[in-house]
Amino acid sequence: MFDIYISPFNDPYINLSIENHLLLTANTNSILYLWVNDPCVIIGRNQNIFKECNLRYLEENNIHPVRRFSGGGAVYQDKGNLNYTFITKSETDENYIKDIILNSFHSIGIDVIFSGRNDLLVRNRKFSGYATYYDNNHFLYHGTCMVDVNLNHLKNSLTPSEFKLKTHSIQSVSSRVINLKELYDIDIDIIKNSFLNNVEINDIKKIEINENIIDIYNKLKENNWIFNDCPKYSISINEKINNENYTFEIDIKNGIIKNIQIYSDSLKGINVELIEKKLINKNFSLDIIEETIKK
Amino acid sequence: MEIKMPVVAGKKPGIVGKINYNENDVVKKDDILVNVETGKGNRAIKSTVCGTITKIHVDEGDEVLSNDILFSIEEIKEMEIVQNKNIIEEKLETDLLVIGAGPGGYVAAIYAAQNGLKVTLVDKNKLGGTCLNVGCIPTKALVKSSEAYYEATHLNKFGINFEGKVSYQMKNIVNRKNTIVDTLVSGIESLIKKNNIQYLKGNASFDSTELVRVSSEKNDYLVYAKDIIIATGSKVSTPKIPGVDLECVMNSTDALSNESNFNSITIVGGGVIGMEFACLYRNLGIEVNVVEFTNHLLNMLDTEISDEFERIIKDKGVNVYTSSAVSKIQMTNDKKAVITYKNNNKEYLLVSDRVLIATGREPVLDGLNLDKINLEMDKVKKGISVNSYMQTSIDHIYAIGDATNIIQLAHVASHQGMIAVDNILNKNKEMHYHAVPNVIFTSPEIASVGITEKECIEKGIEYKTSQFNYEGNGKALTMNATEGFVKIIQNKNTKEIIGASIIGADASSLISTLTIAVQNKLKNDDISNTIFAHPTTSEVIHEAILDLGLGAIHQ
Repeated sequence: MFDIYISPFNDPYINLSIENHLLLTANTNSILYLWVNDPCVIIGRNQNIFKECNLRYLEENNIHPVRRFSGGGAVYQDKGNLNYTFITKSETDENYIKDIILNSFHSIGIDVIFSGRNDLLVRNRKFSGYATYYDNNHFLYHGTCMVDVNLNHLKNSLTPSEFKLKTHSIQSVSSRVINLKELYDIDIDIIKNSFLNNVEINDIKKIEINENIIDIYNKLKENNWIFNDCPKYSISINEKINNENYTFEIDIKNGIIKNIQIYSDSLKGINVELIEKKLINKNFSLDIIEETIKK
Repeated sequence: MEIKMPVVAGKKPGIVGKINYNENDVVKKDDILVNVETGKGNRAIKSTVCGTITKIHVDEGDEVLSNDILFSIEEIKEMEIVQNKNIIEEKLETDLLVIGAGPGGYVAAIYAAQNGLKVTLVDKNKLGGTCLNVGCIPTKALVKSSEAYYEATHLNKFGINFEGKVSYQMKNIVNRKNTIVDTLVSGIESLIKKNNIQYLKGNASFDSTELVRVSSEKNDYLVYAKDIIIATGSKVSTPKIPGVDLECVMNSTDALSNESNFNSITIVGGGVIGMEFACLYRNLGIEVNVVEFTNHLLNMLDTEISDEFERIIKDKGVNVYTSSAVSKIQMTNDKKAVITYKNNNKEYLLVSDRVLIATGREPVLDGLNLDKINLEMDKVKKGISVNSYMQTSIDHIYAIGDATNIIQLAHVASHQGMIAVDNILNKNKEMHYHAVPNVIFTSPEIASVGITEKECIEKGIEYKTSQFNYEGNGKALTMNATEGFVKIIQNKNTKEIIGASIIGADASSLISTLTIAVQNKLKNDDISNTIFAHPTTSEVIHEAILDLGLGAIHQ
């Protein structure tokens, strides 16, 4: 028996907070939670946001950067995408949930299969990413479902800028993607209803925002969580100053610059020691690097 | 205790993601130690005990299989009691340990507790530190008594006749001061209790970077803390002048509890502490000499302000000797002090009942055992070295206030304390010092904020100044307080107000308005368009701002 929650919100941070709260308070009943977000890029728990997306593009286009609790890779989504979340007790077989997901598509004539990596494919192209997470003796299975997302934003958001990163973080695997709308005359509500038709409903519950959700929301909104809470990494930035090429190799841990090395054919235009001193132990951001170097 | 990778279905290894702690960190039960990405998604691995991480067996990016050992943790049993050489050792664990309960430490502790942290606060002396016990507050209590005495002996200036005799006993003035201090200290005590802060009275010393031993009279506490703030403050620094330990010589702490009347005093040092005492003693009718090593009293101020101050106190009868160095202090048979000072290589003598040494304060760091943890010191400031996040060379140890010796002001310490807590909470806040108000409770009061004219010249900032005298202010005239002026410094290019100084009545209150201007980079037009109440001393600010435009109205 499933308790159903349908989010009235589009803020990705609040929607993920509700999801996490549902997991942490889950008890006997299984849960199906359906939610749609404003434009955002959602990266996996152990990913590096600088590596996964073009932050400048996100900022310019009002696309929210978000780090979720589950693992896996980065996704772009907007109001043309439906998110579904299943929460079940740990002993429930994952295949039971996968069957519900498959049936929800098959029953409206959409011919989908799970790929080896647990993505959902239609005509061999991915339209849905899938990830799982475990806490409070419950498994959480959630996925995206691209119905009509802005493919231009998707492509540009998930193309990182030109600098190189050495990381210990989880890397995304890029895929050929497709919107279901390209193949079927369909919208998000049809898929939502199909999910509801394919589970045994106990009750449709109203979402009430409480203090726990607000606490999770505040954590998810923190810059430190979004940008810094990832495995340590190194970044290499090339800059041209006074027509000379410089390479900056920067080691970053918990968002703080731990070490910086500057390489160049000529070092006369720049005070290496001063730059090192100014940057070490500072919070890393592209802006602080640019500002400090340009001074 | 070993934390292992849980059994996950399938043979695929997991990949170690974000590791949330370092070796030697203290963790609580259910804290998330590490995230591992498995074939079944991300798994947050939690600690099953409270303890210290002795070894982390994996690195970020490593592959791990079910049952691999991830962490070794040495369990801490809360309130474990060990009987050791008659000393009872009690083990405690806390989120934040604050060492020192002055205006930096206690504010940080309360703010941290408000933010949900478990806080332990340690001090070897009374709550409130220098500020409450032997600094800001007790001096102001004495200043107010001296002003009351001065007004009572100059009632005729206000058209009042008084035929009797006004007198004071220093003992009663000091008693009044003690009552005020006690009230404030007990206020802090109740705030500490209200916020559920654990308060330990004793001396703190580092056993390791995470473990601090607090030795009190009865027992020792071993405190494991995730984060630590050092806020141990400062003590009076005593110059090596022959005779400084004679009984006629006092430092500022002695002077605040001196209960006997005297007729004359020589103050060594023309800084803030020295000048507040000079004015309060002069108001009490005591003969005051001031000997200052540099060529200006209050030499950190704008020179026009310090010149005006010197002129005013000389008018009031204070004897000022600048560019003079005290070389020795002696005592006569009838217990009078004889002070020898040199000016231009010539020796001069002064005689007075008492000597007050007011040559500054220095950080208190002894007993902390900082060598053991190799904490980096700032060699110039002789305090603990910190970055703009108030973080020391050891990531989870912060230092604030006089212990860093950046700016010796209570309100700076409090602000630094809140910044440190914000950074402990990962809020990434930096400390800025461009708009710190500085107030001196002399007669008249002096206050300043932002940068001085001299600093503008040194930094090559193009600036414009304006000035308005209290003589043109109606309210000041009614108060018999027409001495002094306000001086404002504006960036010539941006029009922003970047600095201001006031000498005159109510300066300590008036500086707030100008601090808001400097902090928020207000331009002269922003302020000149504001209505200032009449008749108040605040109008001097409005007039000085108008002076940056077409000109002041009443000047």
